[in-house]
Amino acid sequence: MKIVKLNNKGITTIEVIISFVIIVIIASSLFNTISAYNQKRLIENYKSKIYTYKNTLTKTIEDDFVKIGLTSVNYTRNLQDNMIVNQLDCTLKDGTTRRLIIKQRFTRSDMHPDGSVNSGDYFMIEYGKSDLTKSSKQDQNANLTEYPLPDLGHYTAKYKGVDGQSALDLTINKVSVSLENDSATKNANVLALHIGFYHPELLTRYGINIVTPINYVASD
Amino acid sequence: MVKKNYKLNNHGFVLAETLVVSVFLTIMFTMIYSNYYPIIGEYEKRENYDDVDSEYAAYWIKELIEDPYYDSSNDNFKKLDTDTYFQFKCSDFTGSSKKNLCINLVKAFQINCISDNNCQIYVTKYQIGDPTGGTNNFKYTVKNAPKGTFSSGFKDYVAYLQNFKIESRFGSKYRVFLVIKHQEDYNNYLTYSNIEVNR
Repeated sequence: MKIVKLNNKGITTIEVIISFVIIVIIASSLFNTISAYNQKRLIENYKSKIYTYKNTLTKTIEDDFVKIGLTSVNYTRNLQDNMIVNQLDCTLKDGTTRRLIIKQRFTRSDMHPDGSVNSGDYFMIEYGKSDLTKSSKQDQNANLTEYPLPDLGHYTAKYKGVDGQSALDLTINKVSVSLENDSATKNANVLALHIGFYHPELLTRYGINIVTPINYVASD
Repeated sequence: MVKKNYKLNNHGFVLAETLVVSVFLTIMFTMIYSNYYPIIGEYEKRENYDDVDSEYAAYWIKELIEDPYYDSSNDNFKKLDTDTYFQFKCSDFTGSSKKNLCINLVKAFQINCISDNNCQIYVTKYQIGDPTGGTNNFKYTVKNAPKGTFSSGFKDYVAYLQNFKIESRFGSKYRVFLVIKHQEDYNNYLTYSNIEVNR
C-alpha cells in the first residue's frame, strides 16, 4: 500500500494568467519569424521550378549550337490570335533547321501594360527540328516539343477596377533577340537571345540567356 | 506486496534554478541561430556560382583561348611560369575575324569589364591551390591581393573552389575564370564560373 502525500493546492488564477501572457508573447514573436521562413520556403520552391525549366531548355538549345553549330538565324515577331509570336529559325551546319517559338498573350490587366485582350494569360515555348520542305506551318512544326512554363500560381486580374481574366504569376515579360555583326565583313557573328521571366516575388531576376557564335570555325 | 512510504518534495523550482535554465537555453538557442544564419547567406551566394548561363559563357571563352590565333606567340602562357594568372584580352588575337568575334561575344555574355581591354576574364594554371600551403598559386594570390584588385565576391568564389589537385582527364593545363554582370531587365548582379582549358 502506498501512502503518497501530494500538493493538491492547484494553480492560482494569477499563475494561469501569467503563463498565458508569457505563451502569447512567445507565440506572437515566433509567428513573424516562422511566417518569414515559410515565405522563404515558398520562394525557394519557385526558384527551384524556374531553374529546372531554364536549365532543361538552355541545355536542349545549346546542345544543338555547341555540337552541330549555328550558321544563320532568321527572327520574326508577329501578332497572331491576340498572341505575340516570336519565331527563330536557326539553320545548323548539318543543313537542318531548329525552330524556337515563344508565345506571349497577356490578359487585360493593369499589371500587364501590353495586355489588350480579354482572355487569360498564355505563355508557351516550343523548340525542335522544323521541316521547312513542308508547306503548311502545322506540318513544319509537327516535331516541335512544347515547354509550358512552370505553374507558380495565378490570380484574377482587375482591369480598370473590374475583374478580368486569370493572370499567371510567372510570365514571359520580355523576348529580345540581337545579332552582333563583324565590324569588317558586316555579317552577323554572334546571336544573343534573352527570354525574361517576371514573377511578383522574384521580379525579373530569372530568365533564359542563349549566346552563341554564328558560323564559328575552330582553327586547327 | 512492497509497501513504500513516499514524502514528495513539493517546493517546486526556486528562482535561481529557473534563471539558470533560462540563461542556459538562451545561450543554446543563440549559438544554434548564429551558426545557422550564415549557412543561409552562404547558400544565397552559391546561387551565383557556376550557373548554366555562366558555364556556357565559360565554354565559348575557353574555345577562343584554345584557338591558335589567340596569343599565337604564347607570351601570356609563358608568364604563368612565374605569375599565377593573366588577364584574357581580345586584342591578343591575330587577325580581325576572331578578334571581332571575341569582342562581340564578351559584350553579349555581359562579362564584367572596367574598360575595353580590362575585363574580368582570368587564365590560370589548372591547379589553383596548394594544399601544402605554398604561395605560388591563384588561390593565394587572390586571397592576398591588394584591396581593389579583385572584388570580395570573386575572392569568396575562388576560396570556395577546390584546389583541382588531381590532373584533368583531358590533359588540360589551364583554367579560365569569368565574372558576368547581369544587367538585362533592370538586373544588377554578378555570377562566376570557371572551366578547364586544353591548350
